Amino acid sequence: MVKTHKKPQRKRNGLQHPKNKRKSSTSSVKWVLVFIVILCSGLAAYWGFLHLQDSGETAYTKERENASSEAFEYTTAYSELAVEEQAAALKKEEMEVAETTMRIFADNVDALEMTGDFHSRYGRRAEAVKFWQRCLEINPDKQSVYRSLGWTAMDMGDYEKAIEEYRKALEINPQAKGIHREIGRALVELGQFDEAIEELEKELRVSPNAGMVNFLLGQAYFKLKDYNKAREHYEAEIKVNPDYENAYYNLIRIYTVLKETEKAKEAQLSFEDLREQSSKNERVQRMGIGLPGRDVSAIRDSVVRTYLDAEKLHRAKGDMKKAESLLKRAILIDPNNSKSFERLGSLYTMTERFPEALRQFERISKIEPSNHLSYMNIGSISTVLQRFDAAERAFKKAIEVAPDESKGYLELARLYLTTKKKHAEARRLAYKAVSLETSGKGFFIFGWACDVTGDRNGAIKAMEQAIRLEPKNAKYRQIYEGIKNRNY
Amino acid sequence: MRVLKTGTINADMCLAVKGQFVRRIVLPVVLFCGITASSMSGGVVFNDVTKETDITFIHADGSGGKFYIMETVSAGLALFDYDKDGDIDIYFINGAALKGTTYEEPPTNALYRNEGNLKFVDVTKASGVGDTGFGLGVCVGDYDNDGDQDIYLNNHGLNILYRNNGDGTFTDVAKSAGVDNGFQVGAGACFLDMDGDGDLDLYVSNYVEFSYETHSANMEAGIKSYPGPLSYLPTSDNLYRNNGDGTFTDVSVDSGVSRHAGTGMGMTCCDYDNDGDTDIYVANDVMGNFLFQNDGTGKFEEVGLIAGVAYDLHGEPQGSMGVDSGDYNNDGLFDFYVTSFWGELATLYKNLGEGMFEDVSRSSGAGKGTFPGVTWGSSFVDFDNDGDRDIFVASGHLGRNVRLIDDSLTYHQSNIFLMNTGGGKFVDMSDNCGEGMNVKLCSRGAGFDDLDNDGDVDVVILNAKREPTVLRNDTDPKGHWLQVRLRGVKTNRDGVGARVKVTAGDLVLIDEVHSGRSYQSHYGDRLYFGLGKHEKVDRVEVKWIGGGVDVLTNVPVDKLLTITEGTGTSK
Repeated sequence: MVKTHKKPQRKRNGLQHPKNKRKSSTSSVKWVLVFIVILCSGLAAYWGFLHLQDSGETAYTKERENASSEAFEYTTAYSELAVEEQAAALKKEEMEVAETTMRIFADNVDALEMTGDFHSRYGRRAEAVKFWQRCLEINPDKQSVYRSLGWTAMDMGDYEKAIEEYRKALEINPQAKGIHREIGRALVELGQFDEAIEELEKELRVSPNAGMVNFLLGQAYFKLKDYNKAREHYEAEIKVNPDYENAYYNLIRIYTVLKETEKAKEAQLSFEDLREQSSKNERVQRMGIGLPGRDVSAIRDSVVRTYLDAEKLHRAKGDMKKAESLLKRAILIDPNNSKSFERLGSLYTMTERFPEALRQFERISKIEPSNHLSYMNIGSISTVLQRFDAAERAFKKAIEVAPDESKGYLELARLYLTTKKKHAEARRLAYKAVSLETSGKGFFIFGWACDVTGDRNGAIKAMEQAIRLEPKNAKYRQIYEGIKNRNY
Repeated sequence: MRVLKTGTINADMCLAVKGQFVRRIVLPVVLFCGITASSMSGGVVFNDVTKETDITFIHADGSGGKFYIMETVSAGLALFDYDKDGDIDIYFINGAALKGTTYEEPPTNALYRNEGNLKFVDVTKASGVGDTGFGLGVCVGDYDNDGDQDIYLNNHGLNILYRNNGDGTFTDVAKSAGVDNGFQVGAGACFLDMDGDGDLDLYVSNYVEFSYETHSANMEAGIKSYPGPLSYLPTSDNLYRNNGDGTFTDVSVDSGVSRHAGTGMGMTCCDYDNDGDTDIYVANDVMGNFLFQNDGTGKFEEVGLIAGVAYDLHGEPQGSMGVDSGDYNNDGLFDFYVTSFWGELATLYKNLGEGMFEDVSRSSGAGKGTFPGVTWGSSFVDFDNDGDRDIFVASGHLGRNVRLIDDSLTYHQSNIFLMNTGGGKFVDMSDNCGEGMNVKLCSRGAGFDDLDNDGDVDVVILNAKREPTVLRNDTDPKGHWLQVRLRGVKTNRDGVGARVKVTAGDLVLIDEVHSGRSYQSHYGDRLYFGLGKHEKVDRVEVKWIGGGVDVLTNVPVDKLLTITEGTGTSK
């Protein structure tokens, strides 16, 4: 029998046998190697992550750049034609759209109103009135149509008719702004100055800072020879409307009658400066060259309006495909008209096609770099798409172009709070928002920011304000209770 | 006081039956019936007698599809007695071919001699006044004080001064006289004695700076249309001082007039501030109107803004076209009536005294009916001789295709008659004063004179691209009247600028002799005063330019009175 020979394992004073010693070293090396591999893998993974982020950003940026340059790659419809032919083709197309829309939406009050508006834009007043009246036969409470009828009558010098229509508008909504003013204006034209004053005072109660109201009151008082009252109102008009040259003109007259010669001279200087400037501007706009081009722009604007009106109807009906195609055509009619992109962006947002929606709002920001709402929309959609850096940039831009508008501050604060970063900055932004505009939402976000920055009292006060402004908002109340009961 | 017209049938009855008995019995009955008829007819009656006049003039505007602005603003006309035979002749201004247009035979201005009974004969060739330039404005005056009236034409292009040779012919002396004015787009023109030196100076209004090279038609909603004055630079007017030797000196700079660039159209001269000298009002199209106040020596200060006549009630510039001056409310002060573009009221500026005016278009009713039209020639005339001045307004749009731009507009428009009801109020009687108001053409300049010497004022209207309209005033009965013709001796021969004041009982009327007025036209060498029921004139006072005064008393009515300077009783 062969006996296996087990090599004796000897320990020498804790020292491993050399062979064993060799085994231990190998093991350590292994562990080191394993560690190194793990470390490298980790680093690789991190690098890969970073790269993907960048790629994502780069891809997104590239996509943005591509998207923004696409706006200018549109071939504007009919641009290859001579100016007069463009005008004719555009008008023909607009008529077709209006007629088709009317066929599909026969007896739809919105369609009837919009068709009336379309005819009115082209001076086809008789047609416009027909459609508006048909609209009122179906819905006698359409205030906007009475306004349109009133405006048309004013434009034709039929002041009695205008007053009649405006009064009907008021019956529907006595608090509507601007209508008392228009009635007042018509009464001034009719030489009925006492009645005009009565109407215009009503407008001031509804709308204290409305332009033109004080001017018209000044006119009425002037004709009634109450020169001090007339002056008071003209001066009030200038406070609201500091560049309104006609107010200065009438002040010249008043000061002259009141023999305030120095004031008359001052008013004259202001009037002459403003009148010279406005005449120059108007002359520059009208002088010969390019006018037909400007007219075509105006026609394109009208065509786009007709398409947008049609789109509204189809969207309301739920026909998103048709709505989308109308908006796309509107874009080709005038690729620089931001309204089409705005509507298309909102359509895509509604149908959760967020990347496409984003592209539309980005196009608006290229066409109108100061368009605050476009940046707000970019920010909101970027948030939905979890592109938080892009969202942050967009909200910052919104603040930059409209620093007195609260929404930009509010949404940026909310973004920081949602992404759990820059809490102190979030609080500062929310505070700025509520100081610009008091709203339940604003105080809610401010309260949230106070909460996360450890300011319990601030949070409680803010939430109380939010509840006061929106007492029916259960969420605010819930969070408020939560803050009150929490141990900090 | 309003004289009521009887209905046609009753008027015939009235004429057929004679005698005191009839007048005392029948007439009141007739008048009672007539009141019903007259309340429908409005009191004044115009009948269109154009076809009966034998006038064959057809206006040409030089248009050829290019939409040059001049095409839309042509033209004025002149009513005056060119041959001194005691009746009013008619001189029509015509357009001409513009760049891109040709005519087989060049259009010319046309002079029609009044043969009486509203018959006219074309004497253009014989008289030598058939100018072929593009005519816009005209004024008439005896600039050389030789006893006959000369004609000044304000053209697009060189202006013309037709010197009356006294034998029915005229000679163009513009160049030698120094008033051809260069190549401008003309408008209104007036002779006036600005410095009281006894001869007629000349104010020439210029419209806009135009050149074919920079011209571009407008487009509105894809429809070609005429550009407006704001598509051009404004330009200053010219003032020429009469040197007394048949020549003029351009004093536009010295006088202060050239400091102000405008878009001058119609104009009128009168002493609005009653300081004894002649001032100048220029209607500027879509710009503030000018009121040049004379210091008596021919130096002018523009005071339109301060006076309150530059803009309308709101402070808006109007598309001002023509302007007439007259005392509509018999307060001894000259007021202004300015016609305008569609969508604007024609503006009545009431003279408040102390150099101030007020736009009273709305409260007086003087803007009624003018809003939808483009209004041009107009005048303060007492058509029914009831002692207050009514207003007649000629109306017509710019382009034939205007309806394509706004379907509430029409190219051809009805003229407007505003009856003065006394107390500074007007009523639109356009639909109630005879079939003559049914004429619907594109009217421009208008002239008002007694063409048939029957004591009331008739109307002649120049219509763009068409025959003119001649309206005979058939108001019956009308009030008593007085016509005054002035003959200057030391002052200019036509008495231009002289102020006449007629007093009949409690009725006090004023007027001045104008040369050039309304829309780029001339008329009214004879002054017309309606006297209503007054059967005699207590006093006629003439203040001549330069200070002389003549007074006549106990003047009979219903006649033409010629007053020669120095023959009346001095004040």
